[in-house]
Amino acid sequence: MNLHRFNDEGVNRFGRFLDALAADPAQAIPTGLLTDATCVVPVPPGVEVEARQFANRMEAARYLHGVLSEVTGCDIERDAGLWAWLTLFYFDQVCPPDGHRRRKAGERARYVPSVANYQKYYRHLLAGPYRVYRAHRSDPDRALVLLCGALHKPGEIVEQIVARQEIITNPHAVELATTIYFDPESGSFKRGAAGKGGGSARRLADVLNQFDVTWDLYWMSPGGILAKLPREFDRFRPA
Amino acid sequence: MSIRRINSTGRKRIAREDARILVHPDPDGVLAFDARLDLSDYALPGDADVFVEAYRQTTFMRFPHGTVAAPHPTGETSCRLTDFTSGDGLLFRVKVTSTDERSGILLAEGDRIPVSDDEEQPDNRIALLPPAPGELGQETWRVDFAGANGPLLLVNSRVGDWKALAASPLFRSLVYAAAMRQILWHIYKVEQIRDLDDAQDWRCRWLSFAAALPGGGDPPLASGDDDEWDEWITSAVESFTRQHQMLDHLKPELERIRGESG
Repeated sequence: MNLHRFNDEGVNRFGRFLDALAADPAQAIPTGLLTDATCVVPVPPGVEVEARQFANRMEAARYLHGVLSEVTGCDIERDAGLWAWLTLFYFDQVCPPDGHRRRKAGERARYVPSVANYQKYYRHLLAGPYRVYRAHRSDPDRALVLLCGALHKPGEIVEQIVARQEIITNPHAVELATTIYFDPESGSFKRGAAGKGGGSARRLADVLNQFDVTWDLYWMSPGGILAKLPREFDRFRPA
Repeated sequence: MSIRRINSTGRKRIAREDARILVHPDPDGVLAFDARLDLSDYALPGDADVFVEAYRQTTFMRFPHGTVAAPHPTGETSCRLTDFTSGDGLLFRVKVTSTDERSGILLAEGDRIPVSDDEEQPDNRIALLPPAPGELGQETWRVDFAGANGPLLLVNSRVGDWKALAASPLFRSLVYAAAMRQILWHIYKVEQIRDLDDAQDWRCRWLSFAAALPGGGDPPLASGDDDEWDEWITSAVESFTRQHQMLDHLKPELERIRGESG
């Protein structure tokens, strides 16, 4: 299908569907909105998006980054109508049904991006991983810990790391997070990484926030930052 | 609750008037910046490195910008903001980093530097309560404490032009006193700040702001008594509303609304 974006009417009607879903979790997906001429505008230059399954956030981000690199004349990251349209297009993956065909939708920002809200912009389930991938496109694997999760379940590590602008934009800090929290054998997070205890991602964010007062963290290597982490992180240090 | 950051190495804050950033399209139409830096009054080593960082949410670019002795791009260094399609919401950071035996130590920093208008005088004020849009359901406004840089005044984005609303005399006269009271109470009860030492800390800035109001007086930092703090906060809010003539600004707005509604 050709890529479109929702206009204001489209965003409103998509929002009403999300409201109705909260009341009736078995609500049918209004796929007709995707091509309703009163709700959508084609995105030049006529890019095709495929209805495909993504195994995780990295796959989705990589695919969308490739597709959207062909789009011209718009500020993709801040195009709420574009991302809301894509959300509806991939709705089965961002809000999958349970065994009884019932869906439990989360907060609105996961489906209609809050592009101007610094506390929520990263929570969109498609734009979020896209932004992370784009920020680290020179080496996306350094952000594996932020992109390994399922599309509909970003996880607490994402919330702690991506929410902090000074951390998510720092390639060395992100690489450090992957080094200490990503388990290549399981392809997921190490146990305890997403908790609140010592050495967790929450604590890493707080510690880096303090380090940021003293050191130019962009200047330091991941190993240099790792060496300065307190002992509470010992259980996550590479062997 | 925000974790308070300790400035143990005496990192200096670069004042807004010493770091002005202009943005303009280059001959190819790509945004580029021109940083006008004056670091002469900070007693910084002349050979310390200077960096300029441009950022907006997850988009970030970092540029070497010479040294303290010569704070301008050298040689082939580009100032092109190729990752940004517009200057909307763009902010800058200036960092001075040591190159001596304490390599990597941050010697000075200026953050949240907005794009300057070439004509304007530098605005040295730090916004204590910047407005921002929020998805608040039926709630019209809310003070949000989730960020590390201080509270935001969230205005319901579904009103349409939320910026105009936040700037309107009606909104300001009805909201800002209540927001101020809430923030000062939050600093006392939740953040439990008991000093004014760190000018980088938003909580200290708020207490200092309130203390500097005419007739405000210092906060009862040594006290854990709710009544004592409530009295000080009330005094500060009264002083603030008096200074800005909140009621006097509200009355004509009410008259105007009555007149429009016939």
